[in-house]
Amino acid sequence: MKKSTLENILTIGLDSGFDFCEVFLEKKRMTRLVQKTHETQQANQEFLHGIGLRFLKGTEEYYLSGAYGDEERLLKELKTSLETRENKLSLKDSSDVRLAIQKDFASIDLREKQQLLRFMTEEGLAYDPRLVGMDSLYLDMSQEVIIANSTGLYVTDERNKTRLFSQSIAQEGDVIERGWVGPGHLGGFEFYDDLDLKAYAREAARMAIVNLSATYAEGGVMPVVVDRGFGGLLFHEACGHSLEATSVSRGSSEFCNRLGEEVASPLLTLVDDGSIPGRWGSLQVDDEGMKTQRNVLIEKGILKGYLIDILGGRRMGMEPTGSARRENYTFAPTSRMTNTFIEAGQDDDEQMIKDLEKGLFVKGINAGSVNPATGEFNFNVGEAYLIEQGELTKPVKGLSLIGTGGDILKQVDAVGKDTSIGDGFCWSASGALYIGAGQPRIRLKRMMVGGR
Amino acid sequence: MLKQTMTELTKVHTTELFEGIFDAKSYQETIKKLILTEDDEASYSVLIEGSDPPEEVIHDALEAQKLLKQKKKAWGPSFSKKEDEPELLKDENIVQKMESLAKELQKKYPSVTLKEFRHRSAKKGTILASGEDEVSQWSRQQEVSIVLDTREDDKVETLWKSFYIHDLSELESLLEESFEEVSNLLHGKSIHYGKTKVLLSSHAAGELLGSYASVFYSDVQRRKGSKFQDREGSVVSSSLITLTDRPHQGPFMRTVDDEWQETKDHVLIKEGVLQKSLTNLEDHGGGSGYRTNLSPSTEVKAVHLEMDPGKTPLEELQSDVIYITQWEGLFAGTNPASGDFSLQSKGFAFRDQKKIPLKGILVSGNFYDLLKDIEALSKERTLSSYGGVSLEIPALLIKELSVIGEEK
Repeated sequence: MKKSTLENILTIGLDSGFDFCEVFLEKKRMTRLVQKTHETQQANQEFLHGIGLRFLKGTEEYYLSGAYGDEERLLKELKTSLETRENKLSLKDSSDVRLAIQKDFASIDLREKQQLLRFMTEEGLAYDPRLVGMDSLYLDMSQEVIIANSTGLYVTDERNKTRLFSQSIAQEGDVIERGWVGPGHLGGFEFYDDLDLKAYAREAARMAIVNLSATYAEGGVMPVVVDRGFGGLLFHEACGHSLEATSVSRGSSEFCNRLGEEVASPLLTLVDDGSIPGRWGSLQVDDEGMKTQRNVLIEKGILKGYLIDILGGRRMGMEPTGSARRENYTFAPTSRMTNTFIEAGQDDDEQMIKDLEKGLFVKGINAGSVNPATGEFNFNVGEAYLIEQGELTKPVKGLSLIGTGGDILKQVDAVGKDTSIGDGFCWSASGALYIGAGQPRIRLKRMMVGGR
Repeated sequence: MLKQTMTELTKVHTTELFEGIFDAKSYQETIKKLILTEDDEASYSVLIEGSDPPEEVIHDALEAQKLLKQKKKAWGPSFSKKEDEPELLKDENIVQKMESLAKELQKKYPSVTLKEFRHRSAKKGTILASGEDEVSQWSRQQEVSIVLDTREDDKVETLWKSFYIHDLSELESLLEESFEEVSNLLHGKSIHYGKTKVLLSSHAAGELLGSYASVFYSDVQRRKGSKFQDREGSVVSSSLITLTDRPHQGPFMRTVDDEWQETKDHVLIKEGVLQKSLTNLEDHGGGSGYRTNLSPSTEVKAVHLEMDPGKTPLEELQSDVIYITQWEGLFAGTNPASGDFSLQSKGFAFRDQKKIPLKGILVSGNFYDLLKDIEALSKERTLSSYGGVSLEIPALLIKELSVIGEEK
């Protein structure tokens, strides 16, 4: 779309009485290969090309979207047309923030992509004869966006992302269990040059085999140690969503009006950072065109900030934080997490377990969810062990952990020295988004564990 | 050159009311998605939205055809069955109606606020076409979702509910029930009961069954995602249970599936005995093959699951039992392969003629065991939905589930 057309649309919005107007143009190409053990079940290519128009008047929002080429129809909804206006708004010169990549996805033969999946299957099944299946998904995406708004902002970006997700299936008698891995990346196909696929395949297989011998544990309230890595999803659910303007600006968060208060253990520092190079949850600019940044949300237990988009900022009287995101042009952007993690502390990983007479060690998780208004969250465990007399004894399964964010943040009594971030997806108000979640090993004094 | 096409047309009006502060409308009209398949044997698809297929797409499709395992994709008998596109229900006054209903109910429940309200009217159509044959399917959906908030001192409770409705006149009773439910939960406690008798409300039973609907799908069974593989004719549940997929019913109704097979009622469990699984053509059956997001191959899916009701009024079942009305995080806390679930829940304890609100409890069990442990069914059923499947399930009395809470 020509710059003059963008300027025209934005001018029409302002002339119609709105005080902020935005155009989001998206052209996305996605490849998705699905391998079910030895069979390549699907190969999809998707080309999305669309436009989202957003108009704000104070804290009211009006959003229209449609496939590309429909801007005339969309403007009819506003009872206007694309005729050229006088005193047209002027956009700044285009700022292109795209990252250079070494291997463009379109230049890679589909066979090469498929080979990744076949390798995962072979390596996973070779781990143990009880492995009966290995389902894998390859995903790559090139999303070109143009974002322009009535402040004169005019940004172009291309986000290249790829991820490999594998789920192992193990069976012994009537018992069927699963394990999974899912490394992702911001960048091109070069991600796979150095990725240790064998280690990932074997990790998924190992997890399923461990769970075959896992037993059911009695539920109750007990100390819980959550291992480093994607276990950080605990904090994504427990407090991350409650710190998004989506909840805070409506008064639907337990953290409303609490900046500067001690809301967590002084051992905890929680950060959301969409600017980390190469991470699956990263992007150069957010979906309102603002450069992503490191946002410290909680520092040594003190609430320091929220994740804020333009509309949320208007409602809260605060500045945006580069946190506006949307799955595609059909969604209006709103505040969402990027890579959310707990910073490293000073405690020894092994000692956290040795100190406990009885408790639960969570090595891997599956997924979770939260009610931001009450802070009530739940967190489903993928791999866990009982802790008895300072030792890991037996694997246990079928467990969920629940609590409220406000309480759990204060229950942390040990934070390990080594943070790592895992990759996943988050479903919320503006669709499904790629995110990172991470932490060092962390111990909580008490959590409610559901078992049988 | 491109023989098969499938087009999905969606027309959606959404009306939103946030906190009664402003009335905004979002509008998303006729997003056309076109799926193109190179020929009958290629399991490769290209999804185009908003533009013509570029040359490189055609090239990729040809390359993909060489790459992928060739498998015969039958497209079923060709017949034409075109239905008229339905009219959307009128929604001009729905915002005002909800506001006035909420104001009236606030007099009775002063601590409760209608925090958010969404109304979505959609007509969703799928057109399958091959050569000159064409089948079109339209369903009409009227969905209402609400967020209620209740506060007292520093206590907060929220309730999110979503309903498919036939008519706006149904709103009043649904809203009143929800106001009462959230009002009670404000004083909810987290109480530990251990293994105990549990009654799942019709809504909670529907959502739980919806999250395990895939255990009846042949493709999921083949991939070890269900324990019902090769169990046809076995007793898998209480003899009180008869469960049927009725694809001509509900908000997602279909008379033809995405493989051009006419859909029919399909009994899944009859008086406790497992019947034939739902299938698509790949699994030597058909009638339940649907595309997810226009993917190239179909997956098996139910449309509208109905469980035959019992004869006991719900009130009679609400005695000396933990009554679960709401689950949190169903997508995270259920495992269809093993059947295990562990879910944060809300509801009430009916004990010693008292009704004690419960929240912050964890209810755990195994779905396959639960089916066998059903002791009674209510005669009432409500419409619920989960994952694109609608359900009408009675309240279910379960012999024993684990209920974990803080207070012993």
